Amino acid sequence: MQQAWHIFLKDTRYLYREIAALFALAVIFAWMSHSSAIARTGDTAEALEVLYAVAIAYIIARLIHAESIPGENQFWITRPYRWTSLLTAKIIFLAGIIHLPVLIMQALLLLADGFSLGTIAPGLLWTQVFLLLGISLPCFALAAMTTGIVSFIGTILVLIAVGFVIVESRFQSLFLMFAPESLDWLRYSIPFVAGALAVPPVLYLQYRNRWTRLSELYAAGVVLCGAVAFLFLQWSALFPVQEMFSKQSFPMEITRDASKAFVSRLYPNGLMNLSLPLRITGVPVGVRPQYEMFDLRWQRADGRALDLSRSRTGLGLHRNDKDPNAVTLSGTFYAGRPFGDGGANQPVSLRATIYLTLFGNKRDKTIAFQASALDAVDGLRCRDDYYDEIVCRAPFRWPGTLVSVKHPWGNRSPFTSLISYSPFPAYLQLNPIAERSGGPHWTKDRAAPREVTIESEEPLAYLRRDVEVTNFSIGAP
Amino acid sequence: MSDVIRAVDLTKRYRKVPALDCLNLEIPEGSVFGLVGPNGAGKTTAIKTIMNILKPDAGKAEVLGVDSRSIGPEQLARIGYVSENQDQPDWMTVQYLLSFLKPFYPTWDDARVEQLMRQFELPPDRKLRHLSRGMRMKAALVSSLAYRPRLLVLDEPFSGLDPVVRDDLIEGIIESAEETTILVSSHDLAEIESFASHIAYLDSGRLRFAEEMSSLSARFREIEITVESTVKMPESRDWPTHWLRPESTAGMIRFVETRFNLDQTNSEIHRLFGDVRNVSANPMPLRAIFLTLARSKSMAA
Repeated sequence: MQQAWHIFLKDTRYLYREIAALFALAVIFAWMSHSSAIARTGDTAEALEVLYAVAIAYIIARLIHAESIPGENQFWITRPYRWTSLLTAKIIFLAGIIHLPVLIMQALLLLADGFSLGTIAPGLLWTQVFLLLGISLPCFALAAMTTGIVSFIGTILVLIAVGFVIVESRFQSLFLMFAPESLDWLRYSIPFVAGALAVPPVLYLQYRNRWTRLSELYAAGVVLCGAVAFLFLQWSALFPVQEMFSKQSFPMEITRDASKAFVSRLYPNGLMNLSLPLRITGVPVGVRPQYEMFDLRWQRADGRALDLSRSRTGLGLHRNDKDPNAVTLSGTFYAGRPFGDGGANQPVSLRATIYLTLFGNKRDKTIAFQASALDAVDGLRCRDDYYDEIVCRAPFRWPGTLVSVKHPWGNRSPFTSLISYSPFPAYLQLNPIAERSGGPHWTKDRAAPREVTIESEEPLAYLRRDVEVTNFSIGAP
Repeated sequence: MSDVIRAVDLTKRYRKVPALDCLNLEIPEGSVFGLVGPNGAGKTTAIKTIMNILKPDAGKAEVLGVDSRSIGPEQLARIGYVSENQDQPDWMTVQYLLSFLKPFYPTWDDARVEQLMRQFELPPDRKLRHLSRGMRMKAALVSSLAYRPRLLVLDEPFSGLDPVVRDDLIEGIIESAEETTILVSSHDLAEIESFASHIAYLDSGRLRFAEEMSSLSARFREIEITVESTVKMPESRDWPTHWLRPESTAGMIRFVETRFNLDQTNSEIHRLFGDVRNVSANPMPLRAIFLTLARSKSMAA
């Protein structure tokens, strides 16, 4: 440990200018964030975040290249360095110079905003985890496999270009077309998982043995697997992970509503009209189902699969406003000509898988409508803003609950319906405050109330249920 | 006397080209061992493989009684290594470099550092990047002599240095020779000759010879034979293989004897040339020996 500390002190001396610049950047970011909400949420904040990430990557590369691993001519490889001490020294630097300032800056910003330490502690820690897995460790591993800053930057640029192509590729579009945004966190967790799998073995191989070729092969393999998973893993395959985060189990069933007509019509032009009325049972009072997505699988009587609903544009789950337990899977979509010129009356089966989230556990808090923020529900702090709207702030991320403002005159308006079901209390971002405004716009006709009620309901369970309709004919119009 | 370094069939290939081919070498404790050879002979590869900077493809080496592949901090604390190609932490001042390295070495000797700093006239507050090549080499040498290593490995330490700096470095090295075994590679043969106790000649990755300097000097002689002008050069098949670079002019035959023994050489001369007028056997400097070997090889090629 003594040797590790000695190397750490050397590194801080070596990089003191870069460290000072990084700290200055953190102070500027904190000052801007604290003094101006616009700066926190606008392009300036984004630019500062990117700049900060670049600065972190640069310092880590310089740090690791001070005792670069690949090569034959480094001064340190013929000196009595213990590999554990060298690795520990670099980790101390990451913890003390890269991570700790971010933690302190975020904590100070949040405490200054009135959040309690107990509320922000999990988010602080998870931000550190994401920073570690998302930036620090990948940069650490990459720097440990490169000889200098040029090859490091070159590799980063190539990886960014490849990542950009992956994210922007048509595969991603297909993925997004069928994936609820609330589940996006599952897909975006894949790079972090890949980082967690790739980095420790690479660091061990490099610092213990300096086996750069093997490390490169391993890292490339993990990155490739991660990219393939990111591109091709269907969201339905990821859904079981989401199911694990259900807080309660419900004996809920979805069945075909026999009291209503099941309609399936295949037109000669390949369009198909479908209407499958469904009924939900087993949902307790106070719990509300929200339909996320569906999958359809068609089968002929001989057991062969039919590819009828590859393009599902036009199909949707339609709720019945009068009957919350009724829903219809209906619409017109292009099914093609699965039976050629004839045979539309052949018997087929349809298995529909409905994915849904059950919301419940409603809670609310009435707070004074005033300029200074007060604690509301779900860790939010809300206040009146200059435009007579309610502005609520959350530590690190907007809560994974449906939050709405109850108007004095009865109706409700949600801050957003696009919430993430991520179980993590933070994302990878420097800005520790998520902010949304909403609620009523007080006008001259409607005077601002003295108090408002903030309501929320949380996702209790993530479910999928199958409904099967067997042995029916698609039928001709 | 035990061997500080022992290499057995040590082989290193780059792709499939052997840079070092079955090197067998023993470096006795207390020796100043000069490793010489032309550029590309494999000297640096040999040293890096011995130092565990490169992994051997075959064979093995032992350094201070430890397999070279297992050289770790414990061994490196007793080995000094200075190479012309070695990167240095240029941002450090000479003083900081030394104070940074000090805790790594239990045997660090501040008095020795002071003495070497004075001897080499090193500016303590100057950053390494602002030093001349010679001064950087001196700083590297100080940082490697400061802990009185049991083994000092020097890879082309004199390359590109002016004569004054070379002399300074050699002086520093010679002073350490009493307590340190030194392995030094170089193609600056005059310098090697001035202080090496042993010499090894490496060529195309193969060791041509390795022996004590005194033995080498004793067995290499430039022979000049004055003969009758009617005497002809013998057929090449009759020419002893240890006689290199034969030349003949009118009444004069020259060659290099690589196994000089007064009686035996004379007897062979008389066998081949009969009665000769005069035979002179002149000692050869290392440079001349090196050139003879290098040219003999190229002629053979």
